Amino acid sequence: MKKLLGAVCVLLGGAWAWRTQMSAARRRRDTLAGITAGLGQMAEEIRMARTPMPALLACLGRSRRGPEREFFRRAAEALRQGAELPQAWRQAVDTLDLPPQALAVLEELGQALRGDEEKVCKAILLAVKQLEKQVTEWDERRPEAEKRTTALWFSASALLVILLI
Amino acid sequence: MEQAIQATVLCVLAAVLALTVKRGSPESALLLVLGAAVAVLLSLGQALGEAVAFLEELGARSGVPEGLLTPLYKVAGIALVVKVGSGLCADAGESALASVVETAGTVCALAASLPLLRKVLELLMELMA
Amino acid sequence: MDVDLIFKIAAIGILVAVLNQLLVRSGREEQAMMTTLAGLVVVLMMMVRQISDLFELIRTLFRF
Repeated sequence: MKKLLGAVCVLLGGAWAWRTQMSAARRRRDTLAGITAGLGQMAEEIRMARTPMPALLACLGRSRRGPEREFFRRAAEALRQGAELPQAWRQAVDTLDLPPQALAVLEELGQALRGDEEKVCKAILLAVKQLEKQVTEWDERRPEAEKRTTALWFSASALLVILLI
Repeated sequence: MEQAIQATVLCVLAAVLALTVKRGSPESALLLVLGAAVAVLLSLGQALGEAVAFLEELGARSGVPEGLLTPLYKVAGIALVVKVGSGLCADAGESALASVVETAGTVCALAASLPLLRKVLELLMELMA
Repeated sequence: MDVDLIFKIAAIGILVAVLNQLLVRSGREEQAMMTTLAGLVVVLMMMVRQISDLFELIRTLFRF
């Protein structure tokens, strides 16, 4: 009886770890997609309405729904507290939990956010293109990655159960 | 009787499982077979012990000296181990290793039965002298 | 007869085989080999006692 309870506990633990890892991966992907969409919106606003950066970031922080909202709000907050734009951007990027290529693209964008609107727009659109490509690649690899995560956690808990029973 | 049935069932089960597992991981199949072989041989220990004890009694009753019968037991044991071992190597596809194991068995059996052969040689020498 | 051990070995063998297939199909061959090696080591460690018991039995039984 105790063995059965123990086996169930181990399996539940494995299932919990699996669920946590899957939802973390999904959250990361959604953040990336959201930031990409937000950046696209940013480029539109800059080109059409020439909104200044602080107002734009604050507006995005309010209007976006989803995990990227935090990112824009933090950048707007840092700007409001008096930091320079690259600094504020860097601070906000540092709090993100994304794969290193996405972070690299965002940091590069942070460097290029100075100067006239044309250049800024171009830099933002370039970042949007790169991030969109990363999101599609991620989506393509997702079924495989999910299958591997499932297999890993299931077999780890099964192994523990077999060894300890 | 039930032990024979148990042994057969276990070995057939292990063979079927090994066949299933072989496609994914041939090493696991071999280990499974090894495990089943070891378990069955261990369970035969008692029956084998009784048979050997009877042979000993037979030898003692018929007056054959102890030293002449021990090589026989040793050779039987070597034959058992070597047969299973070379079968496992052949299953793994290493027929060279299988034949090496068999050669080792032959050489060791010869070495183990040297006292017996020496006695026979002495007897022959006595007869011819 | 020690059926428990055989079933454990069989279960681990099946697990290793399934994982192996999955990893090889998705192209991660080194990880597949590492899984196989890990499974091998675990199973061998489980069987070491039995194998040494067997050799002890043969040694005593056949008067070595």
